[in-house]
Amino acid sequence: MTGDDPKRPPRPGPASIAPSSPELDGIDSSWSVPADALKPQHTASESQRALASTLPPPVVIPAAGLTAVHIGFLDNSGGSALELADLHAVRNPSLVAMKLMAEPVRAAPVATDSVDYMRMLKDKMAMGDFTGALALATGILETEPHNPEAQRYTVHCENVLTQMYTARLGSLSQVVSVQVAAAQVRWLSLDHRAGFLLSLVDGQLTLEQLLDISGMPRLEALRLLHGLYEQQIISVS
Amino acid sequence: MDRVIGIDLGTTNSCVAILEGDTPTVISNRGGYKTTPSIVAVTEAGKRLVGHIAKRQSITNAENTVYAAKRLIGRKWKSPQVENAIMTCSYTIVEGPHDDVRLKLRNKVYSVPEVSSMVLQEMKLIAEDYLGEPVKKAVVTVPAYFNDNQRQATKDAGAIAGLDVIRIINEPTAAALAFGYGKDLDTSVAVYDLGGGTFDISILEIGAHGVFKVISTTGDTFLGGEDFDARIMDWLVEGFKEETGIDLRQDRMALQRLRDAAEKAKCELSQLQETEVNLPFIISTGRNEALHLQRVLDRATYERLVEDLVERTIDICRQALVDAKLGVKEVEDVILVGGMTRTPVIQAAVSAFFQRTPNRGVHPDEVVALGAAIQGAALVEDRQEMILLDVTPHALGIMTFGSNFEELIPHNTTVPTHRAKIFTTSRDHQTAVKIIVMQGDSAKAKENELLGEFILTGLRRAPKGEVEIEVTFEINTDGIVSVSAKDLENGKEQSIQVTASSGLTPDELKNMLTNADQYMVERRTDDKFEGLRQEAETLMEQVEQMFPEIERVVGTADFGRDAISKARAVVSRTREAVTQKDSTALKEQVEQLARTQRMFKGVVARAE
Repeated sequence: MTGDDPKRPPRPGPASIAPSSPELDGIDSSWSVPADALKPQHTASESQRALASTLPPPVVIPAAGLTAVHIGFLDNSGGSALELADLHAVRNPSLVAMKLMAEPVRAAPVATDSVDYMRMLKDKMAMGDFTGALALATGILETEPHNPEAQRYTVHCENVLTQMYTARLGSLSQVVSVQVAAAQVRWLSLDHRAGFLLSLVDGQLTLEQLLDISGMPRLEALRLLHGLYEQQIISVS
Repeated sequence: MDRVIGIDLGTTNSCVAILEGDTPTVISNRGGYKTTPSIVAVTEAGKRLVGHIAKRQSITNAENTVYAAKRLIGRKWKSPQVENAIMTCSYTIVEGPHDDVRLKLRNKVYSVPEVSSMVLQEMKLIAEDYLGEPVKKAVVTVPAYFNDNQRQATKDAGAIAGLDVIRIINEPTAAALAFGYGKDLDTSVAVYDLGGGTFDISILEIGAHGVFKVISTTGDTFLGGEDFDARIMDWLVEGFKEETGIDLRQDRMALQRLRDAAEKAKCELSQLQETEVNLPFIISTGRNEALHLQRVLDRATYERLVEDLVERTIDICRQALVDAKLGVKEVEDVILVGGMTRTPVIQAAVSAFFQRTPNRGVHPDEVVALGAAIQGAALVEDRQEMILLDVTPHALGIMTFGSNFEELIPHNTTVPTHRAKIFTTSRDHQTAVKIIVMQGDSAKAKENELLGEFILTGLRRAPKGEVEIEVTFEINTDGIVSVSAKDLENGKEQSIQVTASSGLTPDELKNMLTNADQYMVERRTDDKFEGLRQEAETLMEQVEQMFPEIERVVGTADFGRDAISKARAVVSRTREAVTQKDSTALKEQVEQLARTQRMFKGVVARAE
């Protein structure tokens, strides 16, 4: 009944590097560790991190179709390893918070020390992990709804992530088509929200229209569509 | 001469048609469908969605999606139908300022005609895209039981959509008109109309010289294809629950998919003996995995699931014949209307009841719109033999002693008309009478619609039944009803004028028209931009594909490198204009791209 069936064909090759730990499955870290970002452009120095704590870092958005993603202040000490190590270091709060991004209906993490969370948030911003930062900011706002800094970071991360996904997908007026035969869909590794979005793709609706009718927050729908696109389950034209 | 479109403004689906030459034709929408769901939604971003796209999100955005607005159009706030809708609809229904109904979507309140106008506007656009010219006139169909207020509200919806509704005609009449088009019939027909949300059965007489008379009409405004879909949904949900213990009703996304799949399965079972419902990743188990729903539904099971619904329609048919005072054998033809009538079990039930095979010469989804288009053409071409007479949809009269309804103008009376009747006082020494003007076909006043009331005073004090009062009803060519009461002894007279009202004031109507116009301008601008964008994308792709060849041919020369660099700049500026949604800049860049493409083609051709 599920996509775990051993008989299923291998998953279409994703362009991004998927998390290696099973518990990270479903967490969007592809923006933090894209193939080209494994040779990062900057080292996040202390001063840069300090700057990031007051000002969200700059982001260069690639043109549609390009694989290179240049994210400002991305650590060059081995993006993937650092990202995973970082996740494990802050395992309890951030991991739960990051899962929140994937499944927003779940309960928010219980913030015992919002100062710590804010520090972790800023670290993530410094590393260009906007998904992780957004999850932490959302978590902080669950317990402190009026925290102005968390609000500011939430808006900023949402904007940056929206721009990133949009840049990778291209013009939102492109029509979306399914690239996988109907009989093969069940063998893919998807969650029910991605499955729902995929069911809406009929070869006539544009990306913009899919976002309109998804019934999900725009960023969430964009993230899922981007995931389907990266896995070559859908195409846009 | 202005083209007139015929619109079947349905409860669940709408359809638009025109008469091309002598052939009535239905116009497909952009998606290639001949019918468009009568559904309007407003997204979180405030964007308006109409038709199929609105339907695709009707469950996930249920609070901001209006369906079946037709059940509410022209209704009074306190009517039973509105009370029922408040209980059953997922969107918010609020009281309007004129005892009318308003609908709240996101934080904006809309009148029902306004919402219906969005559907009509969509139908107008479909016709304009097809014809390549603006359309200003329409004939719109309504159920035969619609009263004057509902008809006026439909007309107002047309006006807001930028359409001059030159005639409102009854749906069964339109179906009969399309059925009888090009034939000289003299027959009695039953129009069995099972749509997505409503069921209507009408018995009509088609007389010589194009006389179409609705003898009886009845139905159920809460019985239609959606109920059949719901049975399949229930079957799927229960089966899944038995198998997994998970109730899919708790998840909106799952429900949306189930609804779409149930409708698809229902349609497929009209052709096939069985169909597979396959919904992968329908729901999460909560343990980081998603479950699939896969079930085969066969026609026999489906027919068992909907047996009682089919039987309900037959019971209503029985009542329609009683109302028409006709026997089954006196009905000479049965016309099937509505997509649901493609269902074999329905065709079999109708055949069995009417003891004849229903007519297969008309398309059930299209026949009403086709009839409207035929009527529209006849009106502008002044083809008298095909023009339907304007008739009163319901009887008009007054309330009399004992809450009875005394009919003065019977339903189906040709307008203009004039009727009078003499009444007497009902109590001794009665010096005043209240004239309560009503519309409807029931002998009980409370079951009819109140149109207005006035009091005639100064009657002579006398025993009951002695003073005579003449009540006169007059309907002019514009449908305005004048009612007067005259004391025949002293000549004292009182009167009122009743005009049908949709519940909108002229100012409100004017504002809505302005808003609708503005929306159309924005929509046209977006369409124009989209056309330019598509042209630009094609040209950019072609130009970019030619770069390697051009570089090979002229890349070594200075002028060649300069041309290539300029071409790349044009492509870049085009992308920028697309991103900025700047139509003016994009138009300019498309022209430059086209020139570049022609130049490149010439260079390549010369090199060969």
